[in-house]
Amino acid sequence: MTSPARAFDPITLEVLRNALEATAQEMGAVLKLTSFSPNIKERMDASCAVFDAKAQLVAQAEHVPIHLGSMLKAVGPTVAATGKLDPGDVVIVNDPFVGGGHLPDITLIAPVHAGGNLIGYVATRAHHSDVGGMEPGSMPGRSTEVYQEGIIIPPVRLYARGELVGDVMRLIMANVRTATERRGDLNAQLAAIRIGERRLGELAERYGVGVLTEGFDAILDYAERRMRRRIAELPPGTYLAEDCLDDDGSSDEPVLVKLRVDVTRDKLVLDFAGSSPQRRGNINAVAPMTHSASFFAIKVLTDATIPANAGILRPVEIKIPAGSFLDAQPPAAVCAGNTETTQRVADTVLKAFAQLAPNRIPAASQGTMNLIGVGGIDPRNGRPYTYIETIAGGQGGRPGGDGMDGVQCNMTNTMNTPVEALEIAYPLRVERYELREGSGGKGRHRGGHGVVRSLRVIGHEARVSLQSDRRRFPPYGLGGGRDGATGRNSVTDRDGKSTDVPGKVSLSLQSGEIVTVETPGGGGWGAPKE
Amino acid sequence: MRMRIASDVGGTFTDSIAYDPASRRISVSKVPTTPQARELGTIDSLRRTLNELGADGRAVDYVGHGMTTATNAVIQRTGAKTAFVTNRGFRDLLLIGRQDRPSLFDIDVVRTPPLVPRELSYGVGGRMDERGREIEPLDTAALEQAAADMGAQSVEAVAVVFLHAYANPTHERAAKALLERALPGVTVCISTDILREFREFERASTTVLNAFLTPVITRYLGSLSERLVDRENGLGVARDKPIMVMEASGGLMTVESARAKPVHTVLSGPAGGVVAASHFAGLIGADSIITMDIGGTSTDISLIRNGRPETTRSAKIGQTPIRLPVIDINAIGAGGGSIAWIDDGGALRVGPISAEAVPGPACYGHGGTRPTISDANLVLGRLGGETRLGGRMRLDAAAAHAAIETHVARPLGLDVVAAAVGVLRVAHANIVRGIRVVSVERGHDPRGCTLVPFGGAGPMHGTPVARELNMSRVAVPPTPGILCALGQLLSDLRHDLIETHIFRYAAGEGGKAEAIARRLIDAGHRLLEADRVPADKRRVEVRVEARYVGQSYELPIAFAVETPGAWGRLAGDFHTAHRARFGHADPEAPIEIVGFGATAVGKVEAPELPRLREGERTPPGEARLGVRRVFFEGRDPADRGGWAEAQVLAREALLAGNEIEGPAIIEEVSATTVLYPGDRTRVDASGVLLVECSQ
Repeated sequence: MTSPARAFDPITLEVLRNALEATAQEMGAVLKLTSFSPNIKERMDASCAVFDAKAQLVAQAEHVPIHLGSMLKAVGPTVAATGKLDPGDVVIVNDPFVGGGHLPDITLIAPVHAGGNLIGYVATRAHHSDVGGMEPGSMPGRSTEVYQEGIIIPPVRLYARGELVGDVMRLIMANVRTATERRGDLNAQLAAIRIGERRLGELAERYGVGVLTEGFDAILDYAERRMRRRIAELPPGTYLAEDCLDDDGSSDEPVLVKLRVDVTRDKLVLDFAGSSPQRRGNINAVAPMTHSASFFAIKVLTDATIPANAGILRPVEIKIPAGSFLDAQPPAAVCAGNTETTQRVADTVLKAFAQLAPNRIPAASQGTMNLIGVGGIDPRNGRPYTYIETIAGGQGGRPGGDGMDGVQCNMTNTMNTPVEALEIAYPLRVERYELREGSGGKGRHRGGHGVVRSLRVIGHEARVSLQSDRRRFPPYGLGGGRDGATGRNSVTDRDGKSTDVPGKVSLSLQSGEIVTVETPGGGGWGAPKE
Repeated sequence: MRMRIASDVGGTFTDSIAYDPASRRISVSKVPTTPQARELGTIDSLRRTLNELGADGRAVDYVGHGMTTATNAVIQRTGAKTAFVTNRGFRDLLLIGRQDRPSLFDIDVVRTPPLVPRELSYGVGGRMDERGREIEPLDTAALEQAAADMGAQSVEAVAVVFLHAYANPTHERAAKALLERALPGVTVCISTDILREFREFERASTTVLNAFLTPVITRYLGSLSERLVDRENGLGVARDKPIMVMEASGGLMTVESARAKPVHTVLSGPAGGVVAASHFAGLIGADSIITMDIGGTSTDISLIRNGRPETTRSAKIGQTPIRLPVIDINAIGAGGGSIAWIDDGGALRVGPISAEAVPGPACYGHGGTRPTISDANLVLGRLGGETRLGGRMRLDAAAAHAAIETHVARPLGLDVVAAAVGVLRVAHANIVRGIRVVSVERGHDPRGCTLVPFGGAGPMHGTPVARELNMSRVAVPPTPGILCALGQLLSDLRHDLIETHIFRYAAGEGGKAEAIARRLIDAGHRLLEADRVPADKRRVEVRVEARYVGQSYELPIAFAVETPGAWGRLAGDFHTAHRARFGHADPEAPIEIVGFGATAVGKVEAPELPRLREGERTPPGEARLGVRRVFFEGRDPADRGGWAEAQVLAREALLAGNEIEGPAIIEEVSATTVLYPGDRTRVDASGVLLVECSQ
């Protein structure tokens, strides 16, 4: 246990922690307020954070679990690549292999100086709705290398000493489909960066650089202390778990996540040795994504109120074997690593944790995001459209009660598109959107039910792509609880004949045909009463 | 005599006010709420205030009423047994909602179940498309069957919500007629009567709330009205005098409207205070203010721009959305009763757990042992041993001292005073964080605003919070502890009409929009006419909800349909508003009209409030109660601060023009104002304390 932080006064600690978290929240609020695209503005698929001068994350506004762990490592590799930054510089990066996730996640990072010295960094990461590549939305279902998924931006200065580097902006804008929206969203990220810089500067002025820097350390030590306490309460031992993705979208072979958890009094080690090697399809995840999913599970296991800063990393070690699909290397395709693989990693880590804390961990939730994309020409106005959405499913039965029905689980929490808004905007009709009865696994606390969502194509031919999993291997039950139902995708033709289609697929639908996604139910928790 | 009276029934206290415009005398009262029959406490407390002015119910000309009855019925789920009817294939609409979960990481935090259970949710055949064209006729046989089932289950209310009913309400209206016939005595609410707007879940949620509340609120307002006019056991107010109920929008509605649309009263609890705060802000010429209402368990923050409280249509009660205009109030879990504690990482935390009304802070002497913000204020002399909370409750300084010592000072190795200062510093940090985030979310910069603290505990924390936010002006309204009741004497009648009409904006084609706007204006006038508002006191304002094509959120833009060229200017207004709100605009991009809204306001004859007599710069002798030792922390975090001899003043005796320099404590029945060393205040004739904060 690190003790020097006890010397830092516990009142200023709390006051500073509030001020720094307020800074991250304010950055998030500015980003939400000024952004263009619904994905950031309404779904807040974005994160904002404050780092110290050593690139350690001190405070973040948590909006999506996917960014949770990846932000922890966002600044270090970027700054290592750019070299020393000057006041007014802003670095832009989306290269998944430099502290990132997938290409749509664009990160801006700026240094903050006070009295001529670097005191920290502020950063914001947001999911942009298009960054080029082989398909609109930059989440191609069948990509096999990262180059197909969009423009790759290595860490470069977008602003140098406060001046826009126009060449960089032009290069990016030439490679994306909706340049106006991208520019707007980048400006929103910049506005967030600017308020972060200003607030951090004000704090340095108010408290002095010395106290602020000591405060950073004290806040990290504080989170570390709380994390260590929780780890010390866990029963020491070795716990094993494994789970599978159905396939990688390019072959039928399952993709294995294998995990060994070692708990000692002062350390929690997660070792993914034995997991499948990097794959041809796009389910590969860069290491920060594996970290995000792991930290999600660690938060569920320990205490959701421990601030998610670099301090919580200290007693935790995450080992990912080189060459595995959980530490993707270029030029691997990675776009579904965020959506599907993080879900399975979270499932696997939770499964191991359930052995050491059976009364804290829920059974498996649906374990997929059920991404559906539909595109075509709207016959009502002759304009092309693209509609993308992820669909809720069943949450696993919980130690405290049944799993929730029809809800976003684990690594995502984005809202649906209202049926009326959807039908106004796109030539599609929602025929059904209700619970999938009986899909939740039975148990003392049953798993939540998945949902059925059916879309009919109206008056044109549409391209439909699905990125979903848990169509072969069901969400597991725990402690005698039954598995949840696997999901199912199908197409119904105009004669009412229904045909199953795979979990990851692209196909064409004629007018009047219906695509139906039945999402998985959660696993049951505890043996059901007979 | 034309007495105006109002009461505000909260969870713990019922506040009342009586005002005699002739003599300009005002009287206030605070009594414990009578939860079993809230109208009884209300009548009792109104009678007291009238008696104090030597009057009785027969002299009353106007009754205002604010209530938490609807809010409580939703939170405690004590509304009607309600059924829900929608399209086949969508019966789980309420349950799935927007499919998000309430907590990202805490698996013990789950969605609250809908107000209607799944067994009472029915999907029936019939469908409109997005333009309101019938795709499939309403399946009346299925509806009859559903009605029979509801009857068998003794349902008391039904909410009917069909997809795209905003575009064509025929199916909803047919269903209402059928259900009313099949289920006599049962309340039937259709969504297009409440909110004719697209986005089915929010519309359904609002409609279900209305159905769920109608029987309860009808009963409550019925017995309240009877008591008010009852000469034997009530007040004996004449039957023809208006009784107005506070809405969450900050407007008032007649008792008749409130019975039909009780959903408008949900979350109305804090609205009166904000209305009154904005009234006083107007009197002192402050048009951008931040209100900070500190009660026992929370601090409510709201923003007032250009003299108008900001409203939102994204309010929620718990997790249930209400898609109607509601004053945009954000609650932070820090109030006078918030408990200070040391967490397992060794940091000092304050709230969100509260000592509540029972046992209350340690200093209440009702058995509470955990230290609260109020206890810290007593230890530091902000509250005095002689202070009577609400004019009655004596404070126990020893208990406050012991609580802070045991739970904060000793574990942290501090003396009791340093520990109490720590509690306030942390509480202020929480409140400051809340105000910062709320302001920036709404595009405000606190530095240009005036802070208006109220609620029992607000004025004790005004200037330290303002200083942290670099705000230089604080305005403490009169009777800050009962501001909500006062708001009901100052507000206006209000109706809101909302309709969805989606089409591309074209500057030259205003015919359709003008027709819709005129129809809404007519409807607004008819509603006010039904409220017996004379024509010259009515005002109906129309706005359109507009967005850039492709966006999924809208901005309200005023549309003065009777002004020539209004439609043509709308685009420019939209770009300007978009830039002001979101920091950017695109004058080239096409605009889409999504809906229309109308707000019909009936001017209530607001009384002129008392004005203070003019005095000297120095407060009169009777205002000076003495001095008290009060501890003030330093502005610099490293400056521990020290004790100071603060003058103690009686607010009721202050005169216009009096000037007071801190350190000072200004006491009144409902609240205590604290001035730090260097803070200066001037007493305005309106009764407002205008404070310049030392920086």
